[in-house]
Amino acid sequence: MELLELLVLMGFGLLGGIVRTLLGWAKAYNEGYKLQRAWFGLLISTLSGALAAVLIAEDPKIAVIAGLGGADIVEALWKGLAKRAAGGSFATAAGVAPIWITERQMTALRRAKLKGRITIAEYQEFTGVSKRTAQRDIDALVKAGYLLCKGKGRGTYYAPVTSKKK
Amino acid sequence: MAWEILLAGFAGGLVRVLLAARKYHGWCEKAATLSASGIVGALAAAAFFFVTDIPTGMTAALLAAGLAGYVGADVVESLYKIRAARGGRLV
Repeated sequence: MELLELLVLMGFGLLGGIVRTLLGWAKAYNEGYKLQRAWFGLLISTLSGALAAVLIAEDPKIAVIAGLGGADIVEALWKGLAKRAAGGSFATAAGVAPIWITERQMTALRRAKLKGRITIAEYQEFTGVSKRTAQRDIDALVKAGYLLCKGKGRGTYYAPVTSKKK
Repeated sequence: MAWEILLAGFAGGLVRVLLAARKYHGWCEKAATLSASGIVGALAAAAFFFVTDIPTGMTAALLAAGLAGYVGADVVESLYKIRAARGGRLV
């Protein structure tokens, strides 16, 4: 393989990495955190794209999808390292959450912050869990100090705890 | 060959969701999500080979299918998370 061909494949890998970085940026923007070290993801995309294309088939399309995959793996590793560095916690739109928080609880925190409140019925509606599970999930967030229980009876709702109050 | 490609795509989708499960434990570890991601991976592999040529040789074709499955599942998962963060339903 000539150097020029290799550079072309690296370029296609970079293209895949740019696409995945844009997707990662959209995800980070919507989830309320900042995209970090995007350049590293792009570098790995370029290399993984070219490597996969050389190993599998010298096809630019393989380089593009390998570039996408490379950037994704870098993102996953980066998040894992960031979580470990934060002592088993990771950043969410609602602040720093402990490792035990599930995806649906994270979404509940984001919604509570976005709308200023969340109810058990709303939580049940968007997660599809039973009332009992919804109550247990929300209770865990209240117990950990991420949500405040307000109101009584049918009017009960949960408000996010701001970092100043915590 | 078609079945092998779909299986490789399915495996790629599974690898992607297992990576996600490592990050967040909870609903994404459930069997339903695992199989859904695998199916997305298989469909992505099929779609990839529908629009492009299948590489010569079984190993190359399976690796490419696995890669396409992984990336397909990743893109769908990312779009799904963006939707959830914007107020859409998780299920």
